[in-house]
Amino acid sequence: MRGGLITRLVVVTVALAVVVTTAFVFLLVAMARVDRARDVAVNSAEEAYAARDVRRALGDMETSERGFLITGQESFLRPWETGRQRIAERLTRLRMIVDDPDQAVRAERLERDALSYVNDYSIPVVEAARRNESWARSIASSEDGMRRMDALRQQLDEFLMTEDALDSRQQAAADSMYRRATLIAGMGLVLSVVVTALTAVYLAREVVSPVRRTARMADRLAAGDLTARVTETGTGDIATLERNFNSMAESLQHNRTELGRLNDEQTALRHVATLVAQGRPSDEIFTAVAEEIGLLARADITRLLRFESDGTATVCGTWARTSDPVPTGDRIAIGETVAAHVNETRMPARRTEVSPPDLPAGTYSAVGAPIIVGGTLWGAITALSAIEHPIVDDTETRMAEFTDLVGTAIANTQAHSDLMASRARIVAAGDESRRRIERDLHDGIQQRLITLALKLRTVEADLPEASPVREPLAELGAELIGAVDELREVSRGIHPAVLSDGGLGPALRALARRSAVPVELDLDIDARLAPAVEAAAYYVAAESLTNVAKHANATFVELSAAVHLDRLLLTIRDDGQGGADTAKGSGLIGLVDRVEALGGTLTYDSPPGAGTTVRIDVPLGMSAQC
Amino acid sequence: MDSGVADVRCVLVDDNPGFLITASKLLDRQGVSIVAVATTSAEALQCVQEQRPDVAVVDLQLGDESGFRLAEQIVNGPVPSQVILTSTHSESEYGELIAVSPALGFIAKEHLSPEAIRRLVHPHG
Repeated sequence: MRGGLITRLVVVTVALAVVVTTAFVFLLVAMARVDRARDVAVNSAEEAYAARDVRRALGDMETSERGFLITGQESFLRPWETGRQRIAERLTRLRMIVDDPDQAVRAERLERDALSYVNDYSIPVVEAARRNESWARSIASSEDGMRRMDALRQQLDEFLMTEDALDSRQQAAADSMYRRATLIAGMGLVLSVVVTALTAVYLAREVVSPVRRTARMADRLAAGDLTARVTETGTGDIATLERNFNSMAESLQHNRTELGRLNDEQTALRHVATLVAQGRPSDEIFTAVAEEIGLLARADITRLLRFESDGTATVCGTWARTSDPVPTGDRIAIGETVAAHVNETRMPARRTEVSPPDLPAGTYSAVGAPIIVGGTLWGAITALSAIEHPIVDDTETRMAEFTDLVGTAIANTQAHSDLMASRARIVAAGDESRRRIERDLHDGIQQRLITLALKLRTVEADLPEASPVREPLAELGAELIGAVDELREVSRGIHPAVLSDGGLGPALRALARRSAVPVELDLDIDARLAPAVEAAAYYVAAESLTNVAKHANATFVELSAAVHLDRLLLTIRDDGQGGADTAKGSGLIGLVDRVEALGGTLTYDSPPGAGTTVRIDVPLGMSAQC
Repeated sequence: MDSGVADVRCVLVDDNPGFLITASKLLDRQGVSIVAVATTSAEALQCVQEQRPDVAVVDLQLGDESGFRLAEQIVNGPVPSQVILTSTHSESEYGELIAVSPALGFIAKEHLSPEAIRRLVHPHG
């Protein structure tokens, strides 16, 4: 039955009411009939009484009349009087209570005849007897009387018999009506019970049961089990309830799953973003991105590729569920793979790849997303999974956030190395001009002065022993050499010869020898280093020793330098008074840029009363970069 | 004049021609004889081979070339010869490099003189 719940309830209830009411109506009708039958029966009994009354009255009258006729005594007439008075009213009464038409006719005739007996015979006879008229006591009169009385008796008997018969018939009718009523009542009861039961079953099945089922599922849902669903068997409102419950549960489950996925994604993105913000090396970031995407997409292999100009790609980062046959750093051909598609279109792509190169044989579901750096296509991230469990839908769009981060990281690294290169160029330019100045000094002025001095000596040598010019010339010569020495000092400060010719070791030893404060050397450098590195280390050492001599009140200085794992580590530590706030006060601040331009660090530690330590850490070569 | 001792035959090596002229004039006397001059390592080695001098005076700042290297090449070369190092820089600026070198010694350019050369070549004579 379709239709709203209310409608159905109303229909069912009305049907039930109709059935029950009908049953009761039949019952009432039957009861009414029984009642009527009872009335009729009662009436019948009264009629019988009334008729018997009449007969008694007549009998009394006859008897007393006869008695009077025989005895002539008035006392016999008393009952006759009574009877005479009563007979009329009894007859009337009888007539009035008769209901059967035939009986009514009989009652009327009886009344007529009885009244006739009374008025036409009995009273006249009695009057005549009172007057002692002889005919009154004659046999003819008494026979007449007896004849009349017999007729009346016969009528009464007839009446009574008929009344009896009627009564029996009515009794039978009443009985049968009563039986019918009982039957109807019984049937009505059964029908009502059945209909009520059916109604209950119907309501239970169609309304209560689904509602209870849905309520139970709602309990499970509320408890956290988002897989709870109801089977949709109802109709109308119930069906709506079930359907809506299911879609609500579906929605909740979907949202929770989606939330979980988003959370995973955000965590992964945050992890990668942190690495980028910390300025971690590119290869670390690329490997992290490959791993996070691999886990999110539930892939078998992910690769972060850089497109090369010759149509191949370099694997810059890789992650595999088990193992990847291509290690990081290798070049692979991208042929017709999803990476090639991304390379052409600059858009995310999804492909099915059959036996792609550089992978175990088989069919793969592959997705790829482009990495754009500064508006140009740099490379792509690809994720592959065996076709039996393909890559999760819309992975290629979700990878977009990661590729953005990767693009930023690459741009950062590029900017960083651009910055480093720029600083290095500035420092190199500075060094270059220093060298030029030094060379100009050396090749130019110093050389000229010395040549002058030599020329002077030549002249001196050609002079005779006792020449008076000898002494002033010698003085001149000495002054010239003095000037040369001064120039030498300037030149040494700009760029010491021993550093260029001998390298850092001899230069540091020369510094140590010249230091006013004793220097304990600990050198572990066995080869020449890049000129920029040697210069930076030398200038830091020279400046530090100058500071020690000027400010520290130290008794000795430790100077150690060593090459370790492709880095130069130089430490100058004195046991003086320390307390210098930062490197700012000393001339070291100018050297911080020089050291950092090489990608190194300069640290300055000067706790009060505990001496000063200057440390530099400079990388010696450029590591292979992706 | 020296008695019976031959002149010290000397080759001068410096990348500055002006200096070579002045130094030649100054040094070519008093028992020292400048037999050749050179401005590069290659020239210097050739001169040494041809002239077989007693000593070569080598400037440590030979343009882009290293005077120390040339000194080693001359001392250990096919025609061995002594070497005296010189420079516009002072000796102390070179630290231990001079002590390590196979050269006889170092004379700062402004102190160059025939006596100085003779003293290094013939320390007892």
